[in-house]
Amino acid sequence: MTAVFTSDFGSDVGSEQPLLSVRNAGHRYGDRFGCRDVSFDLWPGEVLAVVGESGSGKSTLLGMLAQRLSTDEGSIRYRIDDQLVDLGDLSEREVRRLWRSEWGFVHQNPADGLRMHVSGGGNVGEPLMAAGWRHYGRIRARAEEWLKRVEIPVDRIDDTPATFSGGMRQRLQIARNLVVSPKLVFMDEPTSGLDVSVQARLLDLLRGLVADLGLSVIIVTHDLAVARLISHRTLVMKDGAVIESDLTDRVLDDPHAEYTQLLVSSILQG
Amino acid sequence: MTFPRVTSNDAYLDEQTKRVIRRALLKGVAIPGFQVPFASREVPMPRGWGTGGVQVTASVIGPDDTLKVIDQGADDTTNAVSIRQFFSKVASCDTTTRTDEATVIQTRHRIPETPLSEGQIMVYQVPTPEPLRWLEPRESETRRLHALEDYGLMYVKLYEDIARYGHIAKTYDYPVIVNGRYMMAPSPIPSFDNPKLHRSPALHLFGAGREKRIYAVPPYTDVRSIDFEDFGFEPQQFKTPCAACGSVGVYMDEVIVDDQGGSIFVCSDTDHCERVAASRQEVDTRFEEASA
Repeated sequence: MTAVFTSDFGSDVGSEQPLLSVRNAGHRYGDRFGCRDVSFDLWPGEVLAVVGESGSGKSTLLGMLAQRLSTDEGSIRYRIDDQLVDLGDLSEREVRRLWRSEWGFVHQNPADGLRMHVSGGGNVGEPLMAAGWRHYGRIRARAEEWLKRVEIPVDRIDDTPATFSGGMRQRLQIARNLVVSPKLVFMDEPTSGLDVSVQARLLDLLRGLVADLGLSVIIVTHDLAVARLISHRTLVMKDGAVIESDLTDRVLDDPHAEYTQLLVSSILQG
Repeated sequence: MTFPRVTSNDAYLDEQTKRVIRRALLKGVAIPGFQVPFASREVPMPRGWGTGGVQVTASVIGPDDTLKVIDQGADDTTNAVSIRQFFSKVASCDTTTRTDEATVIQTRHRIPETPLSEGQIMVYQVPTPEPLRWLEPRESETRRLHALEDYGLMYVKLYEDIARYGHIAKTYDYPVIVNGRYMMAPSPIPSFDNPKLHRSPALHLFGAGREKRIYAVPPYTDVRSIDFEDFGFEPQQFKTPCAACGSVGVYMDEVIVDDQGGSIFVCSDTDHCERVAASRQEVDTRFEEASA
């Protein structure tokens, strides 16, 4: 009996562990903190929204989690082969491997995340080539498949993103990030540069992809409607600190912190 | 009548500078394909005219050496002639136009058609030593990419070529992987010459004067031109034989011969062309003598 129990227990360990575990993490700009004392766990397949006004430390937090900014306090641990590894202990080479193969980063401005003078196909194919793909036909087939998935006409595959509309560029950036089947995607205000109808379509697309691929996502947004539509859990940030975190519906329907109440009540009612 | 005597050290550069360059060369040889920074000195020619090559040559040449200088494969162009005269004057070395007689060969665009042998040194004048420059303008970033062997970027360039032209359109300065590790720009030699670098018995030294970089391919080192599995590396091919000597399988220059757009193809390597033409003449003469 005991043996069966342990082996069952052993196989369950993987799913019992969070994908990302953050404890008291903070990043410092000079002598002041951009964000501080942030703790949360992110589980596989979970979408976490980080909301707050400009300057509240959302983007700093995202940059720190993605190892673009240093973790000056606390720890960020990430699951590699069923082991939580402190990202601070990884070499630059290992962090780059994570960027290439397990993580995606969707920038607010697509021009930051795309090569504007390389064709759409080349942009989607680049992460594959970085991961060691050396067969042109297969790279191109995979790029076509992803253009279709993000609703970009396949006959635009050889056009550069410089000739694309804002919505197409953002969808191309998403395709480029998802083509290597990452486990975790960071998104920094992915919809805020787009007009409302395009935003709605993009969110719809994102929601579908996230569900299909079982992605974990950390999405930074100042738009509570985006958080409501796409995320399971929400962190509310103010002045570099997390002031409230819980299931998204709870946070938005029954905000506890005073600031969250203010934030929720300031949504424009149509 | 007395002349104001201008004197210079052997091979123009001072001994300290030569030692600095030799140290960089040794490091380059020890890490094939790795770009070693060095303090590029002034030499009596403008940057961009081969100052890197001249400094490397000055650091390896001695009075016992025989120097050949080629520019676009030719021994008789202005730059080739003046660099040859310069070293004959300041390094008291012999000069030649024959590839097989030279111990040091300075070049910009070509590797000679005559196979190189052990003990020969090829010196390249390199304009852009960084193969990733086309895709990544930041030097700090390209150095990091080399350090982490992160060369996916270069394949994006090849991908773009195939998507646009249906084949890899790069025909010169075609990037190579040296000794299975570093990606290297083989100076602007035609891709036709790339296979000659692979396991070559000669020592290949690359000097970029303006960009202040030195790198090297030691003898018998693997040099592989990058490509895709389904779009392999294909060096340029020429269909017609040389109009002057009849050689085939060599690199050609197109020469316009009239105002109607008529042109002929001749060997780019003048030494090779002259020698093939001479031996052919010899055969012809003997044939005529025999049949007479």
